[in-house]
Amino acid sequence: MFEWFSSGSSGAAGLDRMRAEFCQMLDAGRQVFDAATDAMLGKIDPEAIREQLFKTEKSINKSVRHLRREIVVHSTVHGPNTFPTCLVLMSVVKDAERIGDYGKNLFDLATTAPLVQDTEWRADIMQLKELISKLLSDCRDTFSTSDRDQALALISRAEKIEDRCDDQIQRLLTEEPPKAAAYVLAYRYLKRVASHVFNVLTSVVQPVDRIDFAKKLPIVRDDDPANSSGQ
Amino acid sequence: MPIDSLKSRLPVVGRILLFLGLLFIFLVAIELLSGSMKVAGSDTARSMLQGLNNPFAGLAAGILATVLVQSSSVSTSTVVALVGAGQLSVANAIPIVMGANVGTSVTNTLLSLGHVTRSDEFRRAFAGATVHDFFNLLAVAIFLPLELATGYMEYTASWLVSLGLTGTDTGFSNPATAAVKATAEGIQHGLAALGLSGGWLATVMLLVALIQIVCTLYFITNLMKALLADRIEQWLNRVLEQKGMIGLVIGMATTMAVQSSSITTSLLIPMFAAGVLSLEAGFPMVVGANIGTTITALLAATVTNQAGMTIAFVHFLFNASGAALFLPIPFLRRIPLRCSRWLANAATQNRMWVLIYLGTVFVAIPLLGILIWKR
Repeated sequence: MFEWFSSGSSGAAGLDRMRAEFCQMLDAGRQVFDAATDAMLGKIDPEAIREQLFKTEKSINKSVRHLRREIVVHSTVHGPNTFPTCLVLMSVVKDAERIGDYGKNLFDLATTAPLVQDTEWRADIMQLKELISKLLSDCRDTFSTSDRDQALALISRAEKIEDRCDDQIQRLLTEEPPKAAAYVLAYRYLKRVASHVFNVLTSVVQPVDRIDFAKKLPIVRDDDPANSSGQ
Repeated sequence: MPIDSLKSRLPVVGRILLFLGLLFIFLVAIELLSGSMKVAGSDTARSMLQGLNNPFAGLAAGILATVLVQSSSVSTSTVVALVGAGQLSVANAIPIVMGANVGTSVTNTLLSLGHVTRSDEFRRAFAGATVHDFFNLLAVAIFLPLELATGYMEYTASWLVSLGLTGTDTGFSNPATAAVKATAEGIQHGLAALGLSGGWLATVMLLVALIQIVCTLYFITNLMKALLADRIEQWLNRVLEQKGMIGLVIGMATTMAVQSSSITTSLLIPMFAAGVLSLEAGFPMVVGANIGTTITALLAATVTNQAGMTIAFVHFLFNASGAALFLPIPFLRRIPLRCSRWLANAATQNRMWVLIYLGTVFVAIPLLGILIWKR
């Protein structure tokens, strides 16, 4: 009886558990991304990683469903006070899932059109892979600590990666030879991964309704007068 | 001060004392209610309850009273007190207790209407809510005639009580029971000192007791829900993870902890609506909530006598019998599930079904029952 009455009931335990599972999803997403891009760049044999990669990607999808169920239960039990946090989690689990999906798309590319020839493009993609992998890792840490300053810095890094991918896509679309399609797809997927990392990071600094939309809507800052007036 | 902030400020010992204090006030209210009947005199009280001699009138009264107070704990505790005071026989109280079971399920059915604007959500929520109704209605349809024909529940409950489980006139008494009785007598003497006597004293005592029962159960329920929210969350997550009869145990445990089956079943509605909890997985939890809610009447009966304890055990046996009949046998288990699905589909296609269903089962039939059979 004593234990019952001393147990916490603020909902913090449930939220911590859900946030921890979400961070595990980001870790798994990074593993899929790293392995898939290495295979795409010809660094490792795709068949050697296929089973593990698909298993990890499956675990991400399982976590999405599990987290969504837990979010419903948590918000039902703890009531309206927890809705903002629950909505944030509901939104970002989708991004974590997409990171895994795009990792799988990169793996498909590795099996159909691996980028094994040493070219300027391949070198660029190798660089981008490192940048995005680091971004994913930093994103996970920033999400778990809710470090606002760090999130703003990472958002800036994510935006730069997205812009760089856009520029390269533009170049490839206008260049010959037309077999550049594989590169286009590679950049497309790399960009999407960076975009989803960006979305996760916006959850740290944006109100619920502006999550994912920092590009179209300015990031709300604490000292923003429009924010204080409820705009 | 809201209970949410109270729990964060109160030390653990304070929380336990608060719970025990509320429980004490609740038991005092039961004793006071019994006392009010004694003060009113057996003739007055019996004439008030005479209409309930007919089991169908009793059933209807149980449904209607519970729909009105939105709590079977309040109505069953009141019945326990009346039986304990000797104003209502166990046999006459049985249909009322069964009716209370049916009446309490209206709360989550009303709650499911919050999803009415989204068809799929509403279909799932309404099916999840009405599966409780159908289970209770089917249980009454089977066990009320059986009880009227054989009296097996009253007999079994009497036998259980004769084992000496509790009750002041079973030879078992404790300081807490003595304190409850002394406090209730103190209140009665206090009211008498104000110049009240006879019928007026009985009426005021009855009102004070009823208000006390409603208020203490409200606070106990909210306090326990707030204190145990994290644990309840863990339990509900387990229901989602594990299939099978774990839901029955968790439904029972949650309801016993918060002293309200409506709280338990209402927590399930958003989960049904969102589609994260299937009707099959949620049904055992609903049945568990039915069994768990009998703890309140059993608690109330601890300050009454053998008869009070007997009706409290009948309440438990009725719900346990329903669970034993409907849960293990797949064919029978599917009946309430199919009924609720059928009604939910009909209500989703035409919302008038909701009004027809609620108006018929929870208002028209009970009212007609009282009017026709009370004569």
